Amino acid sequence: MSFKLHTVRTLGAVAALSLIASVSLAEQAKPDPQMQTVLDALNLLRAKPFHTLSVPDARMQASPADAARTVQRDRKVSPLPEAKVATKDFAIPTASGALPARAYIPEGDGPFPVVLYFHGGGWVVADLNSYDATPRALALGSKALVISVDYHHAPESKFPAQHDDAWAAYTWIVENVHTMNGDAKRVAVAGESAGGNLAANVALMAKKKKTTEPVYQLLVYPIAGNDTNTPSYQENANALPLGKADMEWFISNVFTSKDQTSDPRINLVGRTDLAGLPPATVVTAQIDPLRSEGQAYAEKLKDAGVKVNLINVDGVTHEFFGMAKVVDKAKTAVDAANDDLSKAFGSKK
Amino acid sequence: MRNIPYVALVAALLAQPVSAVEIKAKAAGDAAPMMTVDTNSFVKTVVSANEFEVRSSELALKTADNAGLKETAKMIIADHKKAGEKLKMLLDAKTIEAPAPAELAPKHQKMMDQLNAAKGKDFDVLYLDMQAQAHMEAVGLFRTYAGSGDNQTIVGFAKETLPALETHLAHVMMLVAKE
Repeated sequence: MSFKLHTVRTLGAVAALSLIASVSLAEQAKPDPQMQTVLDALNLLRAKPFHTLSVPDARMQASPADAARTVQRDRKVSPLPEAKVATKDFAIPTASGALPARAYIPEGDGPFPVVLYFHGGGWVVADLNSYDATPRALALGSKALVISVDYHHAPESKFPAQHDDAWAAYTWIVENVHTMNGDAKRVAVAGESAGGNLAANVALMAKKKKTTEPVYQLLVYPIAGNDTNTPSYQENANALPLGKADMEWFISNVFTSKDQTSDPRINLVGRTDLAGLPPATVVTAQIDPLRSEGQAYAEKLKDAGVKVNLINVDGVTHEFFGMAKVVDKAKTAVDAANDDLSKAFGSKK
Repeated sequence: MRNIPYVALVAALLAQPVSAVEIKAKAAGDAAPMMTVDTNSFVKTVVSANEFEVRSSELALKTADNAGLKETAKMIIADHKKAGEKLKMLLDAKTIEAPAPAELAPKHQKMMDQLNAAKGKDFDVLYLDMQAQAHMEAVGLFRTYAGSGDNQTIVGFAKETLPALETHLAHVMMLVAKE
């Protein structure tokens, strides 16, 4: 009896200790004041965590981009010059149907270098409109023809429909972008979150197929692993606008089973074929479950001899990159990405 | 061409991207739906968006300076009132519950609050920025529902209303380009 009691006490003490350890590990950083203002606006627009919603409700509710626009308008920040970037909507023909696309056309004569951009949203929510800010800012800052392309969403279309669409869009761009005054020899890939994963996969696939490779990769808080217990997942389990339960919600909608997340297209950090990939800028946010895997992928790329500019930004959350009009740290990160893209395009001219 | 060695020709062909067939870009309206929009979500969002278009444009007629902007606002009011009435009629006939239009979605209500607080040139800039956003969103939603909706009557409404939304967007973008 006394032995048993002792064991229970010891176990209790161990449990208490491990609780303390996990609590101290799980300490979430405080967003900086500008970031907090956007998060407050998102709350006022009555946005709820994804994992508490049905898929249709998650798609229809106010997005972090809506929150950023709200702050921009409250502060009377002019929508110019971004709003004046010329755009043209079109569709990219593929075997699985035509994909909605939007061209952001820079000023000047061209032919322009090209950025093929994939939006975020966990492959479940969001579209060309909710991720309008980043392609607009890239067209202005890197003077590139930016093509933002949509892809089939889950759960209607499960993994790897999104990866197939991304690859089909890339091959179409390489073959046809000259008809849009784009330079097919200078195509970069870019993406945010789930779209960052698609961009990375396009670069990997082009290398594997020994076809025209992108000249650069801009990977903004990409999904790059399948471990949902990394340090950043633990720290930011309850972060907004993306927490651990939200990522699990996305995973359950995208994959037919969780085993599929070990696929090398998802678990990029487990790959051993990274040597020879195009140079990359990887942007991560401190208050983001995806921070650790993004950083790990950047380190793996470096280890494989790929030139990488890893930019980790403190005090900001997932989705911050599209908020350059109201979050100074986003502006700094976007400017750095544009510098890297411009240099890559310049060197290939 | 004949003088190119066979090996070099094969190598050149192999270096081509996977499919060498060039297929022209399609019109935006020919895109496949990337997701399914259910009828309830469509109706709920459209009723609020439509009401926002009408109210914000009526405010523009009272507040804006720019003559071109006021012309566009008039067109938006006329078309969106018509679309709103048509939708209500279809919903009544189909006994689908329509949300009360007086209650805007939180983001539409916030935009109305911001417009109500703006004056002069600030109002014009804000109004155009919001109309560009609202019409891009509407065009995307109507296209997706038209291609994926399960209620053929409401799908018909979506298809019939799309051209007016596209016209509004084109007008708004022209005004933005002049800013």
